[in-house]
Amino acid sequence: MTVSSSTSGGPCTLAGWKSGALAIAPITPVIATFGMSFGVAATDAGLPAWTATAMSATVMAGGAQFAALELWHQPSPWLPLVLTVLAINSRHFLFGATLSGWLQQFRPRSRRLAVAVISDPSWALTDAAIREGQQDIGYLLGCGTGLWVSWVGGTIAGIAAGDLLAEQIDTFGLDTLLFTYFATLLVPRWAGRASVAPWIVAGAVAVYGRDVLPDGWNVIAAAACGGLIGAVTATRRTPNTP
Amino acid sequence: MTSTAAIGALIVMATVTYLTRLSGVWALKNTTPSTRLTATLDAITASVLVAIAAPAAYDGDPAARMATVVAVIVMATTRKPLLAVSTAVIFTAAIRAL
Repeated sequence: MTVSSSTSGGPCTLAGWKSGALAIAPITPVIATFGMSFGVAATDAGLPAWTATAMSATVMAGGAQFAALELWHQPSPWLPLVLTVLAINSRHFLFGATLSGWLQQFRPRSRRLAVAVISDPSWALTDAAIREGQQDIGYLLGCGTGLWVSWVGGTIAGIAAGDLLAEQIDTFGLDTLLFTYFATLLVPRWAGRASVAPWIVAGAVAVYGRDVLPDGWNVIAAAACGGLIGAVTATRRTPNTP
Repeated sequence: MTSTAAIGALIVMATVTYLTRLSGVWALKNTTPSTRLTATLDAITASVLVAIAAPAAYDGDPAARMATVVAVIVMATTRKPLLAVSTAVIFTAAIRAL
């Protein structure tokens, strides 16, 4: 999909931003809770408050941030740090790839900013909205704003609350927030029999891949296997099947 | 890690992460997605969601596993993510309190 973006780009409006922010609003408690657990873990690992806060504000990628804590005590962990962040965040490649065609219609400046906020929830919401005809890049930016504010805010709250919080998260069932949320995102994507094989294989690879693969690569392996099955079954279908 | 090293590490992490976000957008920039590519990306999308949710549910206690089922059932019937997730959380807390 090559759309000329030279003269006038696709819309980037406040209304679009608002609808994105409203869409992510219900799950900001989820994100903030996850951010809190990072704040608690970072303090536990000996990171000063400013470092943990700055990391959440500039990196905004939970898995990679947790993994970085493991390396933080080394004097100069550059190579493992780069490789770990690359591996855990390589799923972002898939997010960018699925949004790429849609993003080309917008101006480079808004596109560069929007790319910075592509993450699991903002991507999932935007991808779903595009299917329903969303044409405004403000939507992704709105999702990203909600994500950033709740992630950074949660981190700060976690640093402030410290260990006090860690036990309560389990007692109140808040540890289930994140994965039940991703499970609910799957529901509208169920496509009947075509979904059975890729989903089961992806789940098995994700669960058992952790025993043999480095941190974060189980998701990549699961996506590759699921994608491969999707590609193979797509060629068997009639050409006009959507 | 010293403060200088910490700033360096933050810059490295932020830059690498931004590049991972940009890479997919670049890679498919001038491609017209075919039916097969669309189906592949759809399958990849769902697989990533499965791959994030499944290990956490698998590792969780029985309450957490049941909560996943509850969330899916509520979502399937109501299509409201907030309702689904909050029902699942309240369910987990109730089971653990027993």
